[in-house]
Order: sequence, then structure tokens, then C-alpha cells
Amino acid sequence: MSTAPSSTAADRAARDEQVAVLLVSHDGARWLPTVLEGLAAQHGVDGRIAACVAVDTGSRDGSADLVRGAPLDPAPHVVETRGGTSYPEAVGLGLDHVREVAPHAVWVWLLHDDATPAPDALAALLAQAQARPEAALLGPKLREWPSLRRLLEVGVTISGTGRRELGLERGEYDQGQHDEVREVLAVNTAGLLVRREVLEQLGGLDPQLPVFGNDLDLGLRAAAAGHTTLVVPQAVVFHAEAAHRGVRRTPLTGRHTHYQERRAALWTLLANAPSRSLPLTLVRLVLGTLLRMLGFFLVRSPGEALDDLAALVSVYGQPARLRAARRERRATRVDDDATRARVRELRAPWWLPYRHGLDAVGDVVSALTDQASDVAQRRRAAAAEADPSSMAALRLQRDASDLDAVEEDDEQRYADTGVVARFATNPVALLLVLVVVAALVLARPAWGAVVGGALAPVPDAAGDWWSLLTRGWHPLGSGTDVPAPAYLLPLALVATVVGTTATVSALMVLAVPLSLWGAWRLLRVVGRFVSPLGAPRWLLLAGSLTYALVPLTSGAWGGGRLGLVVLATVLPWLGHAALGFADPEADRRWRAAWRSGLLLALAAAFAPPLWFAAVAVAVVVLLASAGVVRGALRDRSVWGPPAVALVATPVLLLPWWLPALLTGAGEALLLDTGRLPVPRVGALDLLAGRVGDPAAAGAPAWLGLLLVVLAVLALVPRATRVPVLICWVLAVVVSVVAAVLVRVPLRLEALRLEVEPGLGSLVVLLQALLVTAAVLGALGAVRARGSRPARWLVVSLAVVAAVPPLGGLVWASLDGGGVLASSEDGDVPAYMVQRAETAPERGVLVVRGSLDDGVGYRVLRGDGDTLGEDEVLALAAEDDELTATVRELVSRPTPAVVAALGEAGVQYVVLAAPADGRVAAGLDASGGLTQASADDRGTRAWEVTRELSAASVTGETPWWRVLLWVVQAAVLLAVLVLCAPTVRGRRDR
Amino acid sequence: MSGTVTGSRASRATRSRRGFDLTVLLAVLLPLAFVGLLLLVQPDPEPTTSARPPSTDTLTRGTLVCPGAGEASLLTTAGEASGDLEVRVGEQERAVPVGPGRVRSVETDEPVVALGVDDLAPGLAGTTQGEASATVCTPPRGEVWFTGVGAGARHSSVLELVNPDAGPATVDVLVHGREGLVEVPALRGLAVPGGGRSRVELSTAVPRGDDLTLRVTTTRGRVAAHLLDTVDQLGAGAVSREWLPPQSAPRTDNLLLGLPGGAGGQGQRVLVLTNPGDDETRAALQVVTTEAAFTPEGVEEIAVPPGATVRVALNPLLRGIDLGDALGLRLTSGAPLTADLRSFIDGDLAHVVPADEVGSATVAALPEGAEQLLLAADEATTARIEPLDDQGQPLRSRDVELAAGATAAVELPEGAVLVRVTPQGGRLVGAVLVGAPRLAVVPLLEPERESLVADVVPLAR
Repeated sequence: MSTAPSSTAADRAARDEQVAVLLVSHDGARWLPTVLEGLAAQHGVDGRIAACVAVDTGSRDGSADLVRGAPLDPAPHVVETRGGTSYPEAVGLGLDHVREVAPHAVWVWLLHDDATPAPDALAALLAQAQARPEAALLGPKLREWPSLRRLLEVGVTISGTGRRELGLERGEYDQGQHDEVREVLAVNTAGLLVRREVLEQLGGLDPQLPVFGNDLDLGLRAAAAGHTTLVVPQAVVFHAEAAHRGVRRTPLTGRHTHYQERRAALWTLLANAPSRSLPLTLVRLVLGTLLRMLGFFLVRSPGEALDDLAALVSVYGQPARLRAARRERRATRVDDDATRARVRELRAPWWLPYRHGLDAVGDVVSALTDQASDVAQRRRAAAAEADPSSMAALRLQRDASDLDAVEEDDEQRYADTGVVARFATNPVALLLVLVVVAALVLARPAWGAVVGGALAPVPDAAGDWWSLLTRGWHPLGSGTDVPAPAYLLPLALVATVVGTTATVSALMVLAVPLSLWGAWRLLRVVGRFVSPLGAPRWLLLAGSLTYALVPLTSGAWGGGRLGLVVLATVLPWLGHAALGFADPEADRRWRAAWRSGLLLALAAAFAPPLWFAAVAVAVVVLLASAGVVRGALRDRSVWGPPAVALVATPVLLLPWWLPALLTGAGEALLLDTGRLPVPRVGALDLLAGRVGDPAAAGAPAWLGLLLVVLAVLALVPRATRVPVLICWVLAVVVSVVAAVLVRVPLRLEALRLEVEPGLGSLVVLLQALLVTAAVLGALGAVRARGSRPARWLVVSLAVVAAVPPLGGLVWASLDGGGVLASSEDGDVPAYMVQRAETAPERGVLVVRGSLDDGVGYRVLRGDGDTLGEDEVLALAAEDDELTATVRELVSRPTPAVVAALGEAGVQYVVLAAPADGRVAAGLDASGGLTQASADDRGTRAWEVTRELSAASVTGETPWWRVLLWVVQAAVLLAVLVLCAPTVRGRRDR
Repeated sequence: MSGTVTGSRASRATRSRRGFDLTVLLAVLLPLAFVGLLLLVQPDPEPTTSARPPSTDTLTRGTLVCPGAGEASLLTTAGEASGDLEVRVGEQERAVPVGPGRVRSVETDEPVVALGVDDLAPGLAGTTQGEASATVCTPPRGEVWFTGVGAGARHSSVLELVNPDAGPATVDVLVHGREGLVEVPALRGLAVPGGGRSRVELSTAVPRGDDLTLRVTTTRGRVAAHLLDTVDQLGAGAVSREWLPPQSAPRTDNLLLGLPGGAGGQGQRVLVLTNPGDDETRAALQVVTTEAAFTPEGVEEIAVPPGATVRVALNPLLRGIDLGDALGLRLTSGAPLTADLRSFIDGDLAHVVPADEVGSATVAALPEGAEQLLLAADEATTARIEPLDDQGQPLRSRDVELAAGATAAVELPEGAVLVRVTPQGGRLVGAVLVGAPRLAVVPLLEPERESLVADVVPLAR
């Protein structure tokens, strides 16, 4: 690079330039001996070291004495100062000493007590200083200490968000790949060789940056002042980064190193930002901080998020100091375009922060997919790791080789073929696609608007659901404070994006494909629990298809039982998440806890009785595992996760469950969701997996009973008998829950109906258990090496086992639509509904029946009883006053009765077809009612011409209900964050 | 491929094979327990939606409509309360005081609508009298039958529809002719304005010569229907007009109580029968006397085709039969019929239609010329008869014992304006016989006292 170095006088002068070593130590006894050794071992500097000045900032571990006793040449000058001295102050102090003891020193070499230089480090730096006379700051290549191999820094720069950019991969090994002398924005102060004159001119390091980031700031200031900073990779310094890693805590770093780092970054950016871009930078950093905080919360690092906030507040809270700092920098800045362009070039490119954002998302995604790799394999691996000589380990090895052989075989078979050909020659994949297409076609009645049976029509906009959810008083019927059903929250969330009609339609249409996917995943992992090879794919297909058809064959789908359909969809995913309780890693068990808790809450929102079954199952499983593995329950991370999952449900559903109990609608906790009353479920229904709807009876019962027979036969293969027995134990527990629940007397006061607790969720749960048992049994039968007759038996049983899924599919294609339709005929003429939507007091009183057989009534408000509202109404208390008014109205109406209707907020009276002539005549005769037009001849309608009052139907939302909502929103966010997978970066640390 | 099953559970299962195998026991017990437990799940049967019959309560609003074209409407009450009825005559409203035993006359030739509220609602009763003789005032009804009306030149009728309420009402009229149902679109959906009346000239609406039967159904609102029947002998004599009382429903046992002009009265008697059903039926004719009912010799059953109106001239049929003290006719048939006995005695028209049974104290305001009170009962009953004069003073009260199936005729004393009939221990049918020159049979109508109160429940959907 340089030409004829020894020829000129200037060169000679440069060769003789003196260096002052400035070492700052604080409680560095752990590293100091090595550092001092490294310093002593510097060669090739020929006595150019004019002085060694060591500043010790109040060490209590004898660091100062260590330095004092070090065999250095020249002997070190030790300056001891108080404990709270920051690094910049210490450097300033050291500089003062240098000025005294080595006034001719041109260079100052800064060293940390945790950074030891390689023997030729100083020589390499000085050589480069001589070769590049314009260089004012020269930094070494930093490698990790104690590994000595990994690269830490080869020059640094700062991004627009204040991030310290290294330009290195995480944990990159030094293989000489960065060994080029480059101009950089800044270099670390550990091993920094700086012209004393420049350092003094720049005013030293900024005391506002006590520990972190002062190097970046120095580099920025130097660059702005027109100085050149070089990184010299030939010079190597090993750095322990004690402060950054939190190994060393000083009063300056405190406990919050992240806070200090962030504060330094903000300070550096703001203090050095050009005046023109300062406002933009100020705004950007605030927004950026908020975004970062969100990110930290999402990866469960609330501490770091708060540190970020504190740093922001700290920096923005000191405008005077910031202004002073900016003034100082202006004094040294060279204001020309070339310098500004150079600084810009040395800073990190603008897109870098966005790339980091993408990387972070990628990390989360890969962690998510990693999560999916199954718990069965991890358990085996953990068992093998714990005891490498165990059977488990040996078996794992053998199985792995088996698996490899299978996969190799597969790969060879498909080696030459493309994706399409592989797909087309894979019968299971073809069947899967066929089944999914068939399921989508079968769901035809649910394409678009769908209503019927227990499924009420949806409101026009998601806003209606939100207001139903958040209000504590609903202007429905006679006005009620019964809370909206909890499942409206997920519905409203989805509907806000895709609309209400599409939400319900999607849930119904995707029920089979999604439960097929979920059941496939669940059965695959369950199969691997039992056998390392897992279940063959055709068995998974048969099992998951049988389960996926449960919504249809049970009659839940055709009967419009949205709650049960969603439950059937969620259940396999919940089961899969709950298998995570058996994970060998405690952290994964906790993640499984939050995930299961969230899914259980979702399922219980759609089918509340499921929660009680889940509690019973969890208690039995925990007690059983305590019995099998002694002391298993002593570990909090064993019983804790299932307990958390169970408790999460009532906590998440608190805004619904608690007000339901307090408003006398506690029956809701034991009832299936949907338009009430729902049909009762009997013994045969539970056995055959039917929800007992006479209007949509589901597939023939023998198809369901066949599954029970298969599940019983699954107990025969000895190899899988124990897991099958576990399924049976759970089935018995669920049937105990059913037998107990059915004895709970429930009464819907508003409808004067005795009802049975909803057993529909237990039907779905039992079906899931029976399918699992049958699949496990089949797995045992298939994997067993049996005699020839036994094999034939297995084959014939396989044929029988194909009957439930195929039969279900055939039935569904013939008769699966049930009572679903795209719209429902209302009793109420459209013009009344239009009026009713304008104000709550414009209710429509619908009366049905006759004098002889009794009369029923209901009050419709707004757009009618849409999904969710119907349940609120059914659970509300009967309005005795209104019932009495209606009794008078249909029997012997008087103007006073009609006035009472107006008071109750009823604008129209509709006598549904076939209208009882006597009732109609009475209404015709009464004053205050004028005849209104109706849609058909059999229906009669009147308008109340008295004053309407909204007073009885409107009410206030109590403050505690609002509070519950706020709490739920917070808890939900927290649970969502807690279920997020462990991110790789954190695990590495 | 390895068939090995891993896991400690499986190995335990293998271990226990040597001795007693717990898994086998569980494999047997668990499915049994499962099925056994599920069999315990026997929910109560689904509640059957049985009919919830109404209860009854005192009427709080009673309406009575007297047809127009008379001279006066006589209003009274069978109840205990005194007070002012809200009476509307045409456009006018007035208060008419009534009380127990008192009759108030409202002089008008327009329909009279009387409304009794609260205490005055139960027991409202009335009679209208005039040139077209007398008839009973009725409350608005959902359905009534008029049998044997005419729409021709010599015999024509006018249907008078009165809407007592403020809102409009709609009425459907079905016409049964000789051949069956007659399609008359103009009589479907007849509108009766609120508080007004509609008159339907049948000779205009359904011009035809045969005897007709009208079924008047109120589809909307409330309407009281009355029918004014006219026989014009076209030059041969005077025009005779007579109210044809409504029959509430077709029945298999039709008692036509009263033979205007007496059993031996000279004149034309015509029996008109209508079979609204879908099957032909035969009606057996009996003569009812004070003692018993007998089937006159040689009189055959009358065939009534489905939907048809049949006219039977009684004079030739009963010629030579001694009717003695006969008080009426009885028709028994396999299917429900409506009936009308039209008498044309000395140029005076009179109608007798089957009346409804009376089960409680009933009053009838007596029109001028009221001679006899006719009573009949299916089962042995005692009836207390209390005629009252215009001061409300009782005149010759007496108890009449009626044997099962027997009839009785009670002479009404001179000066009686009101008769109170109280059946004791049974139900009876009654009519007031008005003598010439305004020959009429005014049926006894039990006043409305109670209203049905529906059993009301909230609905889920």
C-alpha cells in the first residue's frame, strides 16, 4: 500500500511516534492477569510504548494491585479513582495522566480489563497507522474470549434504529474472511488506537454514555469531523464482553444492561443526527420503540420492552443535555457535503432494520414449525439422552435406522420423479384430496348464508356482535342483563375481517377439512407414541376421516349446531396441544399449557360442558400418572401445565361466565350453544355418536355402533392394548360425566322449559376417543407379526373398519344437509323489521297459537334474534309483567293493555298464521291498535298507536362488566404471547 | 419394518403376562362400564307440547249489535250491575242506562251498537222490533249461518253487516245453492268500514231463484251479521219482511222450536236444509210436542246432497197428520246441517232456526205482541221463569219442569216487558213466540258473561 516506507523524514517520524497505553479496570481480576500478560507480550513495537496508564475505578477485587505488580515496560502508572466513575470519565482521567507522564505520545491505545491483545496487535495497528497516515482511529478485530475463535466485531456501524450493526453472522468463526483493512464508522474502544490529539479535540468519550455505545458515538463524531477510522483485522484482541453479557455488574450498568444499551443507542442517534433530520429521527425512534416493545412482549420479554421504554423516557426527558451534546458536536463537525456523504456511507444501509424485522419473523415461524415436530420423538430422544445405555436409546438407534431405511427407500423410489408425479402415484395423497373436495362439495348448503335448526341467522355486521359482547344490558325482548355467549368473541374477531355470513359459512364448510387435518396430526403423533414408525398413512386416513365426518354423521352439522361443529373441529387440535404435557422439556410443557388452555377455552366457549369433562379427564389422568410414576406430581412443571390449561378457561371466559352466574343464567354453563332448547341426548345417541336431533338425525345408528365394536376389538392386539385401554379409561370418565350431568335439573325460566344439560360435546369427545382407540388397535394388529390366519383376520377387519368412514361419506352425500337452508321465513313482515332496526322501542310482538291450545309470544327487536341474541333471550328471566300484558291482550284487550304494550316498547303485534280468529277479533276491537298489513292471509298484524317507550328495554352497562372485559383482553393477549413458541435466539442464549 | 412397540407401559404389559394379566381384565371391564354408564343416561322424555286450555274470567268488554230497519231496540242486562251503556246509533253516541230487570228502548231504524264496559260487560241482552217484526240482538261473531235466504224476485234477502269497532273489518260470504257451493267472488273479502255497516242485496249479488244458505265468516275485525228476508207475492199481497236469525254452527240435531201461527195455523211452511259437508246425509224429521217427539207416519228421510241447500215444502208432507199440540220440529242427521223453517201465514213471514242452548240466567226483552215462551231441553231440567213489568216488578214467576226431550209453552202475562229464564240443573233451548200481526219467533240467546283467558307463555322462536 505505502510506497518506499523508509525513504522520507515524515515516515521516519511516523515510525517513531510514541504510544501511551491506557487501561481501564473495574473488578477485572478474573481477566486482568491474561490482559496484562498480553500487554507485556506485545512485540515489534521497539520501545514505542511511552507510558502505561491504568485507571482503576474502585475495584474491590485487587485489580489495581494486579496492574501495579505487572511486569510491564514501562512500569504502569496506576490511577485509582472512585467506584462510580464511568468509562468515558476514566478515559478522560487517564488522558490527563498521559499528558503528564508522556507528553510526546502521539497515540493512545485503549484497553479494557476484559480484552487481551494478541502479541502482535499493537504492532499491526501501528504499521497500518503508518501506512495510512490519514487514519486517526484504528481498531483491531475482536474475537470472543474464552473461545478465541468466534468473531465479535470487525468494525461496527449504527443503523437508523440505533442498532449496533456488526456485519457478521451470529457466532461466525474467524477464518480470515474479514481480513481486509477497511474504513468503518467506528471500532470498539477495546484495543482502539487513537491519535491523542484527535481524542482531545473531540473531547474524549461522551460521559453520557457510561458503558455502552460510546465507541459508536466517538466514531460518528470522528467521521463528522473528517477523521478516518480503520479496522485492522491483522490486529486481534480477545474480548470477554463482560459488561454486555451481564457477567460483570457495576453500579453503572445496573441490572438492566438492555436499558443502558438502548439508551446509548438513542442518545448516539439523537446527539449526532443532522439538524435537518432531527425531527424525523425523534418521531421515528418513538414509533420504533413502540414497535420493539410490541415485539418484546410477543416473545415474552416484558423486561426488555420496559427497558426500551425507560431508555426512551430517559433520553427524551433530558432535552437540555441533549441540546448541549449536539452543540458540542456541532463545534467539531466539518460541514461540507463530502464529509456528510462519507458519514452516510459509513452508516448501515436504510433497509437493514427491515431485514432484521423479517429475520425475527422468520425465527418465530421456524420455531412454530419446529414446535410441530412431535412430542413422541422428543420423549424418545430425551430418554436416550438421559441414559445412553438404556433400551430406549438402543431402540431409538435401531428405529432411526429403520426409519432411515424406509425413507431412503421412499426417496429412491421417487428420486427421479417430479412433485406432480410423486403426488399422482401416492394413493393416500390422492384420496386425501378427493375427500377434502368431497367434503367441500357436501357442505353445499352452508355456502353463503346458512340458517336452520339450532343455527340462528347472523346479523349484518360484526359490529352487532361486538356490541352484544361488550354491552352489559341488551335491548332484547324485555331488556336483559344476561351476558352474550362467549363464542361470539372468536366469531366477532373473524367476522371483523371477513364479515358475519362468511364467518359462519366458513366454520361450517371448513369443519370437515379442518378436523380431518387436526385428526391426522393428532393420530400421527399418537401413533408415534405407540410405535416409532407411527401408524401407516392409510390407517391415519381412515381414522381421521371417520373423525372428520363426526360433525356430519352426528347430525350436529345438519341440525345447525354450530357450537358442536366448531368443537369437533377444535378438539383434535386441542388433543394435539395437550399431548405436549408429556414433553420432556419443561418449557415446552408450559407452552403446551397455554396453548391447550387457549384451545380449551375456545372449545368451551362453543360447548361449555366440555370444560367439566376436561376437568374430570385431567384429574383422572394426573391421579393415574401419580400412581404409575411415584412423585411425578411433586414437580410443579408436571402438574402445573394441565392445571394452568384448565384454569385458563374460566379465566378467559370470565366476562361471560361470571355475569351468567350473577344474572341467574348459570344454566348456560351446562348447556350446548345454539337456539334453545336443543334436543335431548340419550344413551343410544351417546353410544352411536348422535346428538339426538330428530329433525337432523345424522347417519344411521349402526354406523356409529360399528365404531364402538371396532374400539372394543382394538383391545385384542396385545402390543397396543395399554394405550387403547387409556382411551377406554377416558371414555369411561366421560361417560361418568355424562351420567352425572344428565341428573342436573335445569330450567329455562324464560321459556318455562325443563331442559337437560348439553351432552353434545361429550358425544363428540367420545367419538374422538373411540376413533383413537380403534386406530391404535389397528396399529397394533398391523404391526404385529402374526400367523397367516391372523393376517387374514386383520385384513377382513380392515375392510370392516373402512365401513364407518365410507358409510358416513355415502350417507352425507345422500342426506347430509339436514335442516339447513339459506334463509328462514320470518313471521314478521320486512317493513316492520326495517322499522324495528331504527330504534329499540320499536319492538314486534309475535303471538302464536290459539285460545284453546294456549298462546306463545316473543318480542323481536332490531334485525330479529340473530346468532347469539337468541341464547341471551332464552337464558333471560321471564318478564312476568309482559306475559300478563300479552295474556290480557289476546284474551280481552283494552286500551290500557295496548298502552302497556307501548310502555314495553312494542310497536307492532303480529299474530302468526294460522291466526286465531277470536284473538284477532279482540285485537281488531281494541282501541290503540290499527290493523297493519301482513305477508300472507293467515297472519294478522297491528300497529300500536300509543306512545312507545324505550325505558324498559334500555339499561346501563355496569362498570364491573367493563372491567371484566378489559381484564379479559389483557389475559387473552398474555395467553396468546405465552403460547407463542420458544424462539431460537432465546434458546441459544 | 419393526413391529416393536416402545414405551414403559407396553413393557409392563409384557411383564405381567406371566401371571394374572390385568390388561385383559380391564379390556373386559372398561367397555362394560362404558356401556353401563351410558345406559344410565336416560333423559326425561321430551316435553310433549300438549294443549294448554284457556281459563275463563269475567267479561270486561261486552258488545251487542241490534240490526237496523226496525223501530226500536230494547236493551237490558242479565247481570247485576246498573250503569250506562255506551250506545252508538249511526254516527251518534249516547249513554243508555241499564240495570237488572230494566229495559231501555232506543228508538231508531239504524243499527244499534251497545258497549258494556267492566261491570256492565257481562249479561248484555237485547231485542229489536219493528215493521219487520222482532229479532234478537247479537254480539259480533266469527262465523254465522243464514239458511234459506232468497236472491230472486219473489224472495230476496239483504245481509246487514255491522262493524262495531273503529278499524275496518273484512267478511267472506260463502253461498250454498241447490246444486252446492255457488262461486260468488263479489262476496269474498267484503269490507265493512270501521263503525259502519254494509248491506248486501243478495238479489243483486247472486241473482238466482233457489233457496240459498250463507256462511258469513269474519276474517278481519269484528262483524255482527243480520239478515233481513223479504217475500213479495208480486201483486198478490203485501210484502212481508222478517229477520232471519243466525245459526251459530251446523249440527246433527237441529231443533226448530216454535210453529208460528200454531200447529194448526193455515199457511205455507217450507223447510230449508243445507249440508255444508262433503258427504250426502239424510235428515229424519220429527214433530216435537209438549210430551215427546214423534216421527209422523209416512214421512221419509230427507236426502241432503253435499254442499247443497234443499227445500222441502212441509204442507204436502204433513198433510193429514195431526200435529196436535206440536211446538216444533226436530231434524236428526248423520252429518251436521243448518236448517230454517219458513212459515208464511196469512201473508206474514216468520223464520225459525235452531237456537243455541242456554245454561245460565238469560233475559229476553220482550217485543210487542210476545205471547209465549217456548222451552225445550234434551235432559230433564227445571227452568225458573220470571216475567217482569216495565217497572221491574215480577209478574207471575213460575218454575217449569221439562222432561228429557220435551217442550213447554209458557204464556207470557200481559204487561211483561222482560222475561228472565234461569235453567236449574241443565241446559235448555228457548224462544219467544210473537203473535200476529208481527208473527215471529225470537230465539233466546244466552248473554256473554265470561271471556276465555289464554294460557300465555314466552316462546323460544
